[in-house]
Amino acid sequence: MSGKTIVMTSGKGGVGKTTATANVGTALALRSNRVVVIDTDIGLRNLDVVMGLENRIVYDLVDVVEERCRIEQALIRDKHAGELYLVAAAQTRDKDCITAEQLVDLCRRLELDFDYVIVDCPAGIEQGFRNAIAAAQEALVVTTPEVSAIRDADRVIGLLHASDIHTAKLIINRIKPEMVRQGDMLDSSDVLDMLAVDAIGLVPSDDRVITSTNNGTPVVYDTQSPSGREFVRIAARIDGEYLPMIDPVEEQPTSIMDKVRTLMGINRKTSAHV
Amino acid sequence: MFSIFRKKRGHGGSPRDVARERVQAAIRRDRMEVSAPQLTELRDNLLYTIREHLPVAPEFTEFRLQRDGDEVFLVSRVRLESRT
Repeated sequence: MSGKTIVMTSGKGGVGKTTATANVGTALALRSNRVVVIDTDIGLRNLDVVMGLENRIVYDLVDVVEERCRIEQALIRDKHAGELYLVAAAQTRDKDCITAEQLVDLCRRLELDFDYVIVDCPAGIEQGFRNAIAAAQEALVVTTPEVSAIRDADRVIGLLHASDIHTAKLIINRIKPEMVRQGDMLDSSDVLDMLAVDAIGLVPSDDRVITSTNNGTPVVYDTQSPSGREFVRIAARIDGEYLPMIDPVEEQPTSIMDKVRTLMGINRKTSAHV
Repeated sequence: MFSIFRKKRGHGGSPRDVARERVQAAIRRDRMEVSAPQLTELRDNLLYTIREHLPVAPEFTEFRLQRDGDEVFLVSRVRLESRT
């Protein structure tokens, strides 16, 4: 087996990178892939909490690279998805305690046993970011339709290109269809035009993400969750399946005028670039 | 057609229009940013190339970025030494 390493990055913190990592990783595993997700946010780990695995950590990423344990000992098996594993970040160290070379070596070894190695990158563009992108063949850039998040995503895409990662795709997270319809929020085509990259997912804002994080169960298990359904579709696209992009703005007509428009077949400009 | 009833907002457009303009301007500026080490490296490379053709006096070299509205100019002034 020779898998690939995908880094989940954003530049700005708080856009849903860790949630996206947990959900995309879970959805890929539910498609019968062997998946390992690595939390590289040393000192501020959270992927374990989002996946509900915080009580199972014995060894972490730093223990592996400093050879205090074997890789197998640091792999925490997920409670639900069969072939999903987590390598947790160390909580009491800082991001400079591992090097890019060490992470590259770890990912190359994991690629021998897994279909997908997904690296959850810390916010920012310092050493932790440079470590996380060093091993990746592909990148998923998570952003929200907000000025600061898009600006940071653009900076990160530039740095990815400079590091020879030219296959960056965009996840636009927390789209609020009603705000877009009212002209209060940028729509997906605005964001894609500005960043000049392809989308791999358009994720609607969804309160169910909060309850799923509270429970430590990724939202992809909730079939009623619009964001969960989109994370499932993102995993399918990563896995090579062609699925048309569904813009949440078109999917959820709520106002009377929107329903009338939908009935009359009049759509607003919401096309996504795939 | 309902847009004509909408409240006129700051910057003369909807929040979406304002956001789009602001992000585009910020991205345009960011993409033209050059860090001090990058600028030094660029200066050294250019001087190296110029020296292959002409004698230069490096202590009199001026090399900087100049911003003029949305445009950025690379301004360089290199004094040539007289050939002896």
